[in-house]
This record gives sequence, structure tokens and C-alpha cells, in this order.
Amino acid sequence: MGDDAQIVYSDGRIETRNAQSTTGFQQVDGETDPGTLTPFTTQSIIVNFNSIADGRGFSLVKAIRQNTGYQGAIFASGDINPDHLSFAFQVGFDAVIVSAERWQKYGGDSWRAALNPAVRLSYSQTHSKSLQSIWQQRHRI
Amino acid sequence: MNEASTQAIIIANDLRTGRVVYFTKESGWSEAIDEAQRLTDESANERLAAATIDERNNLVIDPTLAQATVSADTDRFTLENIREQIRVSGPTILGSDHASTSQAA
Amino acid sequence: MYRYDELDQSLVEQRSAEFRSQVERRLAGKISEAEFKPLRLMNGLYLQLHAYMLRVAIPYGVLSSKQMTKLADIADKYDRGYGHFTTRQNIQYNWPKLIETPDILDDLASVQMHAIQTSGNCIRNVTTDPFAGVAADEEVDPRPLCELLRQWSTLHPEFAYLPRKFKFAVTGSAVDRAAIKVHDIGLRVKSGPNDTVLTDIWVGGGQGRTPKIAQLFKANLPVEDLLPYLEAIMRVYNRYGRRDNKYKARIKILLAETGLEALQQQVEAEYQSIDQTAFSYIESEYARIAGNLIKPEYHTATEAPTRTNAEFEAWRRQNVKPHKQSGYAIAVVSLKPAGGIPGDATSIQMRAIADIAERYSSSELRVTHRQNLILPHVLESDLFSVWELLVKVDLAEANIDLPSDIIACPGLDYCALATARSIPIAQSVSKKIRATELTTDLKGVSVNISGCINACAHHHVANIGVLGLNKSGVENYQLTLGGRNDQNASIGQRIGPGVAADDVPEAIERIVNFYVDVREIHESLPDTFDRVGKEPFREAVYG
Repeated sequence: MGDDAQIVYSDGRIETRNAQSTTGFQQVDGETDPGTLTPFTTQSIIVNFNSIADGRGFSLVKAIRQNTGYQGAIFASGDINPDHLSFAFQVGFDAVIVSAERWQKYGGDSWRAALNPAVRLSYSQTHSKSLQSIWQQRHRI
Repeated sequence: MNEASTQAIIIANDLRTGRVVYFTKESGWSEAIDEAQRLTDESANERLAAATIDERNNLVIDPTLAQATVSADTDRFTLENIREQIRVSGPTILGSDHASTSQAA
Repeated sequence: MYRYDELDQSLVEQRSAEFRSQVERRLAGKISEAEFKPLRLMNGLYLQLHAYMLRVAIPYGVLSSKQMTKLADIADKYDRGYGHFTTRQNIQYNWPKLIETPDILDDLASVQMHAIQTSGNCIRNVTTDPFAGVAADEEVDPRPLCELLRQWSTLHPEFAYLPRKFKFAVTGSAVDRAAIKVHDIGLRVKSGPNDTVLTDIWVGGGQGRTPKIAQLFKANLPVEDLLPYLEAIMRVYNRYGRRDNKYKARIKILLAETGLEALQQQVEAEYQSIDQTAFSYIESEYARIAGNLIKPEYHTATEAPTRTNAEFEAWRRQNVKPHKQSGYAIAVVSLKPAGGIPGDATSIQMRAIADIAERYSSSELRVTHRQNLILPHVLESDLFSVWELLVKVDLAEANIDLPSDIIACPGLDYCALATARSIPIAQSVSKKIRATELTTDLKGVSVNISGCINACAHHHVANIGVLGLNKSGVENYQLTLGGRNDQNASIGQRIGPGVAADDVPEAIERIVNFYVDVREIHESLPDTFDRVGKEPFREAVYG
């Protein structure tokens, strides 16, 4: 494995990539004010969480799609641990990039387990395939 | 009357139960304040370093030094900080059986 | 009360299972305390001075007999036979073990309860008028909105890591019994034309280090537009709220620093950008919840009440409130016996009141933000029987809305954040003032005692506020006067230097006596304070 990052996709795939393969992806800080977003030219965007204590990145992913019309892939990276994976997919991240260090720190088992989360329901709308929206189910929309 | 001296003990919470525990001479943890190792200024930091290993080993949370004054004639050991006094003695609530079972310092 | 459907039920069960696995990973050393702490806090588990503390949500303060019995069982099985009801209408256990917490959450889930978001920098348990749905003066029942807010805020991924905690309160009456103006967001629900429900949104109230009264942010918003609007407020707060200083991180500071108009504009812009189709079901969900509320079957009294005595009459005068249904009453059960621990109930008391509610109050109970309990649907002809049963378990103190009905936080006896003790002060104050209030009309005079500047006991908005601090290693208590927590909310003013613990009861007695001497007819303590000013009160206490 060495320095290779693992990319954990919302559909359950896990892909090993060497660190260089994400060069060319456009990096966006999780703290970015959505009002300052300009149209993206790349096919992949990485939203970086500097600290999980700051949840703004979970709103930013929605703003990127809504405000800029961006249609490509959006990855989350940075201070995300297995307990945040479900939230990331719920708000519309396509995948989470896990550094080799973080992969080892929490262990592959924990990351794989997080793909099959205990909580499989949310009230509001969700982009995650492993989650079901209670409100949508109740009101058949 | 002789002058009082200061000593310290190391207090933490047990990870599994949350109970207040004291670092002992044998480098273990006890819920009994009598078993707390009394530390002089010279030994305190060294022992705290030893206690902190148990934090990294996920046995206890937040080991800290609690300073106490010891009167030379009676050897009475009194924690300086009211917060630590209550932490050791349990709630001070009047006329209630809520107080903790651990004995006062 | 709201009854879970299978989906609500599954969610709390799944959440409990999730926490169990998080605890297992913590015990196995796979996650550090630094990583575990935010996870346990999101499930209401703190580490306090002596032990862990588990704060269980009682959403908007409503619970059933069955739930109360379960709370008693939990107190016996996992704790020390008692629990503490809080100003956020929750219950706290003071001695649970981490290893047993997942079992407690399972037990709670078995009766449709949880500890979700009772701590952490997220949207906390929503509170409301304890008389919701039964108050004689109510305009709109706030409970359906409270439940909608509970669902919306539960595990909302965008608002789980806010700059700071965030508290909502809701009222449906012109008389505010939910203190909505000292919450991050206070909602007043009103009836609009053609059976519509409208909401006024008050933003930026709060207590703590920088107490603020909320400002009217948006008026008359139809309830079906409320969630996207709240989502816009939350996003703007999350985006611009300060993260550099936890004492400046609440929305009250953002409002003060940004200005009302500018913040309104930011929220409006965000609101316009929100995809409204994602909220198209709100109206029907609101209606579904309202339709799902279990409503008591009201009967006509079969017999006129015959039994009475002086003690009962005193209790009835003080603790019984008017019900919207004729023939019924709201009975407030005091958890403030003179000399007792405000808000504490033993498992025996919890079971007893659960039984009383089952028999006499449609199996329903409430927790008030003044840390008392309520039997919301009692036939007036049953009041004497109810009172007799309450007497047996020491729950019949006739002191609701009197000075001895003290709000007190756990203080330094339990809390890791506290700077001074609150409970022993409350005990000595209530003992002393109880004698006075039995002979003098002191109705409405509130005394709230906080053990630190975080103001969990709402001392800023008490008529008489007590704040415990640590001054050079000694507990010291500041006194504030003139606070109000109702629709005319105001922040109390400090009247002089702090006093020693032993001097607090005497100081409060002097304040009360001076008030009684100078008040005009029907004048409240804060009104008297406003009229005569600080100096004479100061003189009365320190002179």
C-alpha cells in the first residue's frame, strides 16, 4: 500500500490510487463561502475538510452543484473519519479520499464497516444509496 | 506548630466506568483515595508521565495532578482546590444519600 | 403526544446500534478520546467530575407513563436510583458507566426515546410551553411544529458540526412560558387566515457570558415555508458564525456583529437559493404529525368533588392551572421540596407519578423548563385523589411559581464546568424562603441559581438571579435583579459585589422583604426594580 490513498465511493467500491493521480483535481477549501464560487473547469473537485469540527464542507457540496451548475465528481478529503462517511454520502459527495495514514490509523475494517452503516435512515432527502429518506417514503415523492 | 508541606496525587477517570481513580505506588489505579500515591514536587511530573501512558493505553481519561497541603503535626492531607475536594468526596448535597461512596480525603 | 411510526422507531434503534459500535471501538483503543468525545456528546454522554453523565432527550418535554416508568427502571438498573430533570426539559443520569451506555440507549429506544443531540455543537432538543395543547390561553398547539423540528434536526448532516450548540424554543401562546426570547431561535406559532398557521421567528437570544434578548427576524411566515427558512438561517450561521472563540460563537454574537438587517439579507439570499422542491412534503408531514398526536378522551365529570382540606386547597391554589377543556385541570407537580434538590426525582417517585398519570392524566406527563413535572389532563373531580397520592411520595409541595420553586443547575457537585456549587445554595435558600412565602404573597417571584457563567439555570432572566463563581479559590455568589423570561424578557442587573455561600439565603430574604415593603398593588419584582432602581435594593442587601 505504501503512500497510496484509498478512495471510498458511495456505491461501496474502494479504489487504491497513488498520491499523484489526484493532481489536476481542483481543490476547494471546505470553509469556502459559496457566494465566491466560480464555474469549475475540471472534471473532479476535492473539498478539503481542515477540521471535522467545521461542518461547512457538508453544505458546500450542495452549493457547488446548485450555484455553478457543476456536473462532475466531487470528492471529500482531509479530516474525515469512518464516522463521517455516511454524512458525506448523504449530502452528495461521490467519494471520500482517505490518505494512507488515515486508512491505517482507523484500520481498513473500520472503513469498510462504515460503508455499511448502522444508521440507514434519515428524515430529509439524501443522495446516499445506503440511506433512505423517511419523509420521502412517507409522502411517496 | 510546624509548617505545612505540599504534596500531590494523580486523579483521573476510569475509561470504562467513568469513576474517579487515583494513581497508586504500584502504578495501578484505585478508587480508594487512601491508596493514592502521595507525591512530592520532585517526583510529581515523573509519575504523571507514567500515569499518562495509561491514558494512551485507553485505561483512564485525563490524569491530572491535584495539589494538597499536609499539616506537619497531624499529617492531615487536604486538597487545595475545592473542585478536587468535591471530586474526591462526592457531591456535598445536604441531607441526601446521593453522595458518592468514596470517602473524603 | 406524538406516537412513533416504524420508521421513527427504526432510526432510534439504528442510532443506538451505531453508538454501541462506537463504544466498542473506543474500548478496543481504535479511536482516541479526542475522536470519541464528539461522538459520545452527540449521544448525550458527558464526562463529569465523578463519572459519566447521560442526558436523555425528552422531546419538547412530553412523555408517557410507560416512558417515565422506563426512566425509573434505568435509574435503578444502571444508576443510583434517581434522575435530574433539567431546564431543557430533559433528564440526566449522574453515574452511568460507559460500558453500559449502549444498553441504556437500547432500553430507551424500546420506549421511543433517545439521547440524540442532547449535547454537541448541533441543534439540541427543542423545548416548548409545558402547557402545550392544554393551556386555556393557547392560540396554536406548538407540538406538531416541535415534532417536525425534531425530525428535521435529527442527524441533519449539514448542522452536526456548527460553530457552537444551537437551541430552539417554541410557543403557541401570547404569554410566553417557553422563554423563546433567550434561545438561539425562538418561534411563536400563531393562527393565520383560513386555518393557516404562521410563525414569527426570533433570532439571537441567549444567556451565558453575553446574555441577549432575541430580535424579531421574520414575521408571519407560513409554517410550510419554515423549514427551508430555518435551513437558510442555519447555513448562514454555520458559514459566518465565529469559530475562533467559543465564547463568541453563538448566533447572538453573529447577529450583534453583523446587524439585523444585513443578517436578514444574507438569510433571504440563501433562502432564495434553496431548492424548495426538497421541502414539498412539509405541509403534509405537518398535517400527518398533527393527526398522529394521541389526544386524550375527555369525559364529563360524573360527580362533583366533595373531599377537601386546607392543605389540599393550598396545593390547588398554587399548583393547579386552568385547562382549555372545561371540567379539567393541569396539575403541576413540584420537584422543589423546601430543602430538596431542584429537579431531582427518585425512581420511586418516578414510578409513582407514572402510575398517577396512567390513572388520572391519560398516561401523559410533561417536564417543565422550571424542572417540575406536569399532569396535563386531570379531571377537577380527581384532583383530591391525585393530591393524596402525591403526598405519599413527597411530591405535593405547594410552591409552584413561588421563590422556593428554584431552578438550579447541578453546579460544582457534579459538573466539570462549574465554578461553584448550586444545589446546596438552593437547598438553604428554599428552606429559608419557604417560611416567608407561606405568610406573604410572593407569587411569581423567581429565583434561579447557576454554578457558572454558562447560565444553565437561566439566572440572567430570573427575578432574582444567583451566579456562583470562584474567587481566589472560594465560592462567591453574584446577585442579579430584574430579569424576566416571558414575552417581556429582560436581563437582570448585578446589584453589587458577590456574597459568600452562607450569606446567600439572607441576601435573598432581604431582597424579598424590601420588595414586599415598596411594591405597589400587583407589581412584580422586576417592575418594582425598574421603578425604584438598583440603589434601594442594593442598600437593602448590603446597607
